[in-house]
Amino acid sequence: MKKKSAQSLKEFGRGIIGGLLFSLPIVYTMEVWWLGFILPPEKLIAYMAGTFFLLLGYNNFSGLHEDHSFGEVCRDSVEEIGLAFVLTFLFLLLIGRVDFSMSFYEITGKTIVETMIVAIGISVGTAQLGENKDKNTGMKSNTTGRNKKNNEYLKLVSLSICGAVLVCAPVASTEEILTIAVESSGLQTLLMVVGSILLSLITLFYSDFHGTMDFGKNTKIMCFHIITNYLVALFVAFVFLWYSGSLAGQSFQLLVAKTVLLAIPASLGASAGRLLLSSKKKQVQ
Amino acid sequence: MNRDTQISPLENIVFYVGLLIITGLVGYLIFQSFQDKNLPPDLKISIASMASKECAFKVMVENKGGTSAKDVNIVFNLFQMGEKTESSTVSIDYMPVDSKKTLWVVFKKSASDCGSLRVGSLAFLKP
Repeated sequence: MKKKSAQSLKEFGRGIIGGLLFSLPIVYTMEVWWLGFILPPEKLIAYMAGTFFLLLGYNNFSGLHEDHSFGEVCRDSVEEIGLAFVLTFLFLLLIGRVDFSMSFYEITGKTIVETMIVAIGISVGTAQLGENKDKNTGMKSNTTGRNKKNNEYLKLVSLSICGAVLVCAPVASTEEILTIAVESSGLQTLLMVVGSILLSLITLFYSDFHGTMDFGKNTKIMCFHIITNYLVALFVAFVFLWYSGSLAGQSFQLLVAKTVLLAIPASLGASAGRLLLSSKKKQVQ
Repeated sequence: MNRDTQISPLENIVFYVGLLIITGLVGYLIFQSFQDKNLPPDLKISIASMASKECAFKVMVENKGGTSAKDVNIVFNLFQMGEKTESSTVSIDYMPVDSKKTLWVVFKKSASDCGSLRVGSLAFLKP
């Protein structure tokens, strides 16, 4: 049966609401607007490519029906970026953050920087805010055995990255990260690591969130998930700091403190996001 | 966007517009990456007297350089009969490439005692 445009319009509407819901904090952040004209074009291209891969991952594992093809995943990701770009541009125009007296590079830069998070929000919003969530569980049904385990692991990592990006993006480029990192002692930094891991532990195993894992007595698997989660958080935090130019000319100690500090929201996003962005309750074997 | 079996005309439109936007942006950014990025910020300041009862000046700052300037600090000095009588400082967070900012510098004097305004110093960071 051919799909009607009215149905597509509903999906786009859901996507737009999701996009705004998840990305408004970043759209309202001054330091993020500045990145739009400070960042060199190479970084903007890398950011677009990184977001496209994230969208591929999310749409593959959580955004589409089970028997989707790679082409469909790519098509959806292109639609989401296109829609996000138009939405972000119009929103920035509305709040007066872009206008036609600015250079073309400033307008496109500001819009690209915000667009990528809006695109992830659109993808998440379309998949999670709809009524037919039960069919968006991602994984192809014909995958079995080792492939299925690998796919499951890739799915978890992919959703964790999406969650971490959504949560830590609004704060990554703010001056507050530098201020707190400079004023933090070594002991405080260590406690931040412990705190992040504890937050992940509670979120993933003891919170009774939708999708919380039952690990039983298998502490090895629990440790594996916690470590994976924290590594994802550190990776996302590091990439965001690099991207916003916050790592240039810094001492190693400050670099570590900043990464660990930003990894707190990232680890929360990686663990909670992974549960909330997927859906089924899991029984770890 | 999720689809059931077929693609609606609206989704087709969104897809092709999205494709056009992405290829256009990537093409533009690749072109930009080959431009000379070693040019420093080049801030041009022009000052004009305001026709008012107060000693007021309209100042236009423009970045004609190749990179943005951060934490721009401009000190203006008011001169009367060749002597500096007052000064004023203006700070701007960022001056992106090709951007213009309009400032107003007002001194508590009447227009008849005003004199002329000159730039004392200009300082900024390269972000």
